[in-house]
Amino acid sequence: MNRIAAARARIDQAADLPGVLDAAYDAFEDILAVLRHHQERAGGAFPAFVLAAGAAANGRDWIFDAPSLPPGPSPARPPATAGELLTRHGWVHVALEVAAISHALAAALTGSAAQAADPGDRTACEHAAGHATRIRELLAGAREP
Amino acid sequence: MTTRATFGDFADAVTWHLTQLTGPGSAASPAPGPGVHAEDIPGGVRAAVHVMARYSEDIWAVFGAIPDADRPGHAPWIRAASRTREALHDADTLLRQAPPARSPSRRNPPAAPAAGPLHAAATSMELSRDLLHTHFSSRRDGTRHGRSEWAPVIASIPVARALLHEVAGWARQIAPHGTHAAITGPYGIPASRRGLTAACQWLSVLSWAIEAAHEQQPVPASELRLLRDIPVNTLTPRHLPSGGEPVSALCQGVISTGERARAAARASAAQASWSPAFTRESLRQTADYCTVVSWNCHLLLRTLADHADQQGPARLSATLENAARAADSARAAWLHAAQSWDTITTDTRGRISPATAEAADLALWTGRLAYADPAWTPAAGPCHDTRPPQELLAQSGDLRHVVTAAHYSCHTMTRLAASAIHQMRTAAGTGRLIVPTRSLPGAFDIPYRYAPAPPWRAEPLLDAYREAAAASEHAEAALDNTAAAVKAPSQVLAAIRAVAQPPASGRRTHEHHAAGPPALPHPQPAMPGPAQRTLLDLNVTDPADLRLAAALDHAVNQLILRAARTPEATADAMTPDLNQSSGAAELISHLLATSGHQAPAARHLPAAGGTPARTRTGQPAESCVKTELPASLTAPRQARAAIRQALTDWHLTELSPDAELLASEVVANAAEHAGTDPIGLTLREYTAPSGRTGVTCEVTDSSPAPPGYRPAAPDSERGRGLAILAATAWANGITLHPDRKTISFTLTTPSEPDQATWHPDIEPEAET
Repeated sequence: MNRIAAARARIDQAADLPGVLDAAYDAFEDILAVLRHHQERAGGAFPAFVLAAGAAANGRDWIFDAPSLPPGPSPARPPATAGELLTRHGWVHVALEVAAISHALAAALTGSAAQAADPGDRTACEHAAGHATRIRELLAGAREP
Repeated sequence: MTTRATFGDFADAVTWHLTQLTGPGSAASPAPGPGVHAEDIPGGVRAAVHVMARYSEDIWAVFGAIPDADRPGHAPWIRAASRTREALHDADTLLRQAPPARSPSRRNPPAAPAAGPLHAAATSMELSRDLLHTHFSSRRDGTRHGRSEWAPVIASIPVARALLHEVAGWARQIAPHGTHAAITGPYGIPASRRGLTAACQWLSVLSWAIEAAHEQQPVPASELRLLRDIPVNTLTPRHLPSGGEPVSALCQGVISTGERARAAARASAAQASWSPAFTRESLRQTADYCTVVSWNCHLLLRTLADHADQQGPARLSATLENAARAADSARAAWLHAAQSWDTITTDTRGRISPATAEAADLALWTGRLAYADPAWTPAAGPCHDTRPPQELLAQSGDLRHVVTAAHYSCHTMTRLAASAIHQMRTAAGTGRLIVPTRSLPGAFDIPYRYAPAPPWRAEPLLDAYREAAAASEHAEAALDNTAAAVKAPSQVLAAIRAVAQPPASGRRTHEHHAAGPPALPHPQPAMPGPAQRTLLDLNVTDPADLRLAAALDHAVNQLILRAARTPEATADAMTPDLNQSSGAAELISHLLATSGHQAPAARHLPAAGGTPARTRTGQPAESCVKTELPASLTAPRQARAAIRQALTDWHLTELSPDAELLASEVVANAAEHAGTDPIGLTLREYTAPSGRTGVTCEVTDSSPAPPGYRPAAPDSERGRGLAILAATAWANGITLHPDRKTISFTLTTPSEPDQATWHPDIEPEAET
């Protein structure tokens, strides 16, 4: 399973706020890894990939600020394999996959923001959702030139 | 290429008004032209001379400030500037005896429309001088302070020379008319007549003096052009492309947006120590947008290069190709800079700075130029065709416009990088750069989410931005050659750099740029390091010594950085890192003791590591108070009382408020985290060789863990101790031991210059 699909499954399965935050943190990290892997071969889509990667980094950092993010360092994840980074796919496919998970991520975070009791969690979720939406906007219209 | 008024506009107006003094076809005659009344000439001359006298003072401020060692090389122009100043002063004085100027106004209309030409010329001269002064502001002490990137250009010797040349031209035109009016004029006060004649002779004298200097050291045409290109220091309002603009309008949008971005970058650089807009989002997004801008420039230049390859001269194709490659290198460098924010962050969140917003606009404008889609935006979907050459070069002159747009874009990125470096260095010095503690090695037992960024985290970030700055400057320099090849208006950028930073300062030449990427700027520590601080404290101001000290500080940081990267590095192993301040101080002490340096003998170095401060002769410092405080809520109060008493005894009561505040913060932190063991408080009187006195305070607790840093909530009463310490104390440090730690700080009585705000090489105005 590639990293994006795995992250999507974790987001869908997250039941509570810490779970959503934990899944969102890793999802942003995975989006970042995939976009950076593909941006140099994205041709005319390079600006969109760069800006989307920046939004993913900002989203991840906002999640890190959420008080309810489970504490402690993340367990070391093995380096992504070529398959996990969608290496065999073209940039259009990658862009559409990332746009799709960003849509789900934004929805999950928006929902969590509405339910979060802690203002810090609410702020973090709202900002991170904004960055997820930005990623979707940047990549959703991908098509072959 | 700017829509703003320039000095040249007003200089042209002066010349035009002066030519109106003589009728058409009689330019060589000093007789007034038709409609010019001789009785209005003296007042007009007086007004013009008064403005020129003020100009001469401005010019003399430049030439008078040339260091003695450099004066022989500028001797002809220094002489000319001096004579001009004296001549205009004398002429101004003489003309006070002339009848008052009959300035035209609504309430007092001129007797004849003839008052116009000379008065109008004087008004245009005054406006041109005002235009130059919009780039400066005055400080309370009367000194001028640059407010724009043009300020160092205006204050440069070449522009001052060009200005003198301009003044000579005006004097040459005015003098014959004044003399003629004095001889033939109808007014009959002999003193006024003599005064006007003498004043006009002074005008002739100064024009001869300037001509003589020009003959010995001619003013190049490029410097005259540079003077005329100086714009008024105002910004055009922000506007965004509506779609479908012609290439020339898009290029103008790029240039205007770049001007605003550079102005915003300058403002950001000055605010990094406190601005809430200094955020990781701002800096990361700025880097992202600069990546896009350099990508767009790369596309534009590649398109032009391909077109020139088929239809243009081979030399143009080569220079465009070189510029395209340089823009691509800038793209890679900016991308790396953006990614360098992965492991470091700032103490404020969420705000986006004006410079970032302008960088986003610049990405949009350059994208509209580079892509065929007239509605292109970065968020409009990732699939666009580049603009074909026949569209990019549809109108004559579009090549120059596009090269100018790319040139200004690269210039703007250079400035944005310089500003970011300045901001990050300031932020590192004030504790505003922080790192997630979960990203630190496991041995760092810090009970907070964030801690101040250690040097081995901050330096790679700064290095990435230095690379981005160097790559952007390389692209800018490559475009210097292209602009010269196509005679683009942006040739002025090369002239600006040449003038603001002459080659004598080690500036790279264009040939070096063409040969390959330039060497990176020499890394500087975020703030004056311990070696630099100690030299400053010893009143050592020799730039060579200070550079050596900066290199020493940098080397120490690099050594620690390398040690910290080794797998076996742990918190205990890194203790020397935190103790570097005392190590460097002792090293300098040793060097001074063994080198025969003629520094003042009464030299006390700041105490560190629990060792009493010693003079060079090894005698203990004369005043020291040691006490133990209980690890309880009363500890801060007792610390304040002890400090108050000690400072009263040492006649340093003016330091008491700051010292009490800092000690209170540190002791409270120790009481909270150090268990039940007593807290050690040591106060030492401190005397700098400059005569400044002060106090060094050391607080020792039984916890060996380094203090953590967490961003304080706006309404929180705690959590600002380290930030206050960094911002207030002249020096501070942490010494870790296996069973305890000591936090120390030093406060000194104020002196000039204020060492706490001294920056080793940061003067964004000077960076072009």
